[in-house]
Amino acid sequence: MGVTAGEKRAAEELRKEGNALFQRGKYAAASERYTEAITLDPQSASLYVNRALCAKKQAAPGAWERILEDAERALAREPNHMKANYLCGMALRELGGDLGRAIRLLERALERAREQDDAIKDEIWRELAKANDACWREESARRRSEAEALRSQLRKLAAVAAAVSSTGGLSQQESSGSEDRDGAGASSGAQAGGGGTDMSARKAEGSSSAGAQEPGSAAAGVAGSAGAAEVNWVALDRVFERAARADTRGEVPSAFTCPLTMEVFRDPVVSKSGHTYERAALTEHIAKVGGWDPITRIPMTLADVRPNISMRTAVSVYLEEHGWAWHECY
Amino acid sequence: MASKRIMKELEDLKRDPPANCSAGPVQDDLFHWQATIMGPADSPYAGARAAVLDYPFKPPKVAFQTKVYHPNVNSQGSICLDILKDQWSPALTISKVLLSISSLLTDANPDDPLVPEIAHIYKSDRHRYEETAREWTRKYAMM
Repeated sequence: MGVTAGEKRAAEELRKEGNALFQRGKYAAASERYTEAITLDPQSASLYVNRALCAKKQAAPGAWERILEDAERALAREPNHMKANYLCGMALRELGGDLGRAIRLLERALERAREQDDAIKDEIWRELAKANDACWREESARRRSEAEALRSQLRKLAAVAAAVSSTGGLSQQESSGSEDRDGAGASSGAQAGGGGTDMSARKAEGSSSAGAQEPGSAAAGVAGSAGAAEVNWVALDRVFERAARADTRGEVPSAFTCPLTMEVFRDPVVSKSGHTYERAALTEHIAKVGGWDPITRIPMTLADVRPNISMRTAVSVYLEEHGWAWHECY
Repeated sequence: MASKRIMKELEDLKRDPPANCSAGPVQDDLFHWQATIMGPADSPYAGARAAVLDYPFKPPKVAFQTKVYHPNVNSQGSICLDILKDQWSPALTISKVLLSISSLLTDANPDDPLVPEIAHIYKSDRHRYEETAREWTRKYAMM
């Protein structure tokens, strides 16, 4: 069903009226105009986005559900619409939806906002930080409980292996294994040892071929691998510790933070003297304090400033590896 | 931006406090700080107040609350220190300011005095200056 030129014009009039009402803070009335406009021109992504913005301002109960609905409708019509991506990503996080998708949408919104140099980019960055922070909380909690489960499972297994070797149950298994020749004997030996390393398997293999004549030496081999399980346990603790450290909050290195804002860089710029600052903070410094580099005091203007793309990349690599640091970004 | 940066500085101060100084907000007001600044061993220490408004684009307004006998501190507690005035840079921090004040207490700058009489005594009769400064500390400094 096509929209006639007359309907488009009428919808456009209603949109303008809506925008004027929005500017004056009359969000409910603005929302009504947008709804009327949508009935005339249901294919315009901006109308859904504007209505979602009204809902966001009104912040009534159930607002996020309505924002999500309208943002999804807008995205279906215009997948690259900056504010549609932003609102949809934000609503998904607020409603506990798919965080991975929320992050992707917010990243796209941020990219668009940066291209258009829209002032909303700072707000999108904060939303992106919140979504990444929520995602890190979920994932790190999952990793923690996974590690805990694995740890107690290993503890139980180690206890079972120790009990089996002390009652001599293993040497029985070992000798029955040796009946069906080398291959099977070796695998049962590796299982019983609990360590499962190549070393103990080879040891068991060696002893089982000789063990047909000397059962005593096979028992010694099993006792040896039970000892190895104890040593591994200490090493495993270290591995668990190292894994936990990656999920432990720390301090963001000052190399990734602006000396003026002391916050993680969003839009880093490099000065004539080579120091990097957050663009907004350096702009404010030049306007309020003076036209010189805050660290070297060398005279400079905003025209001397260049985006520091390498720093922005370094920061995103850092944030990817230290998810907890997103918390410092909003 | 201001309150975030001030909170960060507060964390840094707690974790790694500068020598001879301690500082923190008055009650829960992030923009008004109370500081204790000491000179070198057995020399003047004093309490100061700092207002951090429009920070870090304006220097903190620091004044001693204790009477300090010093060529660069007047009877109102005003401190004559370049980084608190035209040499302020937003790359400086409260911690660096406190350190500068502490070293000013140790090494006065009598060639740019706020109180010429004290500067004169400082230059002509150092012993008398030190004596008076110590006496003032005993009399006025709070611990």
